[in-house]
Amino acid sequence: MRILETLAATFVAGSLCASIASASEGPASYCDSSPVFAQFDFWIGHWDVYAGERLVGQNTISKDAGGCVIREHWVNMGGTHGYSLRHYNPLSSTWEMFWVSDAYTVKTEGRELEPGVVLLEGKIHYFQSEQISDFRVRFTAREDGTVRQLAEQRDTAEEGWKTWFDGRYRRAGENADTKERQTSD
Amino acid sequence: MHKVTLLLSAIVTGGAALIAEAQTGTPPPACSEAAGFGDFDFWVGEWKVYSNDDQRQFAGDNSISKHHGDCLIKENWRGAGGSAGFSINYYNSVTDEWRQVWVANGYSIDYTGGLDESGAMLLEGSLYNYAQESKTPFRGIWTPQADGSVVQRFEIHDAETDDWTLWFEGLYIRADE
Repeated sequence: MRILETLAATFVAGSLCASIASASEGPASYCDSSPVFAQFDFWIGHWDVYAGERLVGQNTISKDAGGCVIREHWVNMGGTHGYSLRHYNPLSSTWEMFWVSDAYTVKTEGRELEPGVVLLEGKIHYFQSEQISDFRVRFTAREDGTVRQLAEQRDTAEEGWKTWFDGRYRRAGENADTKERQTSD
Repeated sequence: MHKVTLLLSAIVTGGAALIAEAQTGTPPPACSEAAGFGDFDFWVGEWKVYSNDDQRQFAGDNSISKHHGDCLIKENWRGAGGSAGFSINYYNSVTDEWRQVWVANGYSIDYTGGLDESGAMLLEGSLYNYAQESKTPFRGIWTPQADGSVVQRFEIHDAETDDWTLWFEGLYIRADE
């Protein structure tokens, strides 16, 4: 209870913000100081995303709030955008990810399978059709610095998992066909 | 019907990249024209937030914006002392529920709900305090005021009294006023 009051005080008056601010120069925040929050760090950055050899979009992944939150700004080459917020919840010991675009939401949670591999599982919900299907995404850090994002959807148990998107992330600027980045905060 | 569903499924599951390629410019107005997605519009804007008491202490700046065909409401909070917090807000038309997931330095809040009979947005769920490893029942109530301001009230559940107690009440004033 006392902690909650302290949190509220922080929120309201910034009474602890001075110490938080100084903490950013001195001791790290709870999230920054806990290795588990770094499990997704391989995904942080500005990326060109390819399906096969085709550039299909650009993704900007950033960490904020003392390393507690990871935000994703996706812009595909067709001009549509998506946004996600993910965080590690130490109480459930899972990563939780929430995505919203103009066509669907994705809500998944999961954990690190091994260093550089995170599997998130949950549901995809399409706005227009109101279809809701099983959905899972596996992020794999590759030795060459790229990241593979394999997303799969399962409509029925009989049909099984089908590839929904298989993308390769390459750091932006490492390829000649990188176009001007669109970012929004 | 099943075939239609399968066909639709094949179309929509063709991958974000393929969908992207098929689209030229404006996406379908799935959210902006559908009922429910506008329920939280009164909260959208650039705000100065103050404690809603006699002190009127400045708490921070809050930017609430809609994106992606009005399917997403995004919150970027900057506390007066430099703290940061972010939330993602979206409406589920199947369950008729709003959900907000908030993450800040050292804690997160996950709650769901909708408009109550008075027109206020009422979300109820849990506050997760990382350092304390505590999960506490938590709720937020956003009430639009006649003058265009918004009162945001946060309450935590007190297990001893089995009652909701005030955590923070803020007054949102539009930043350009």
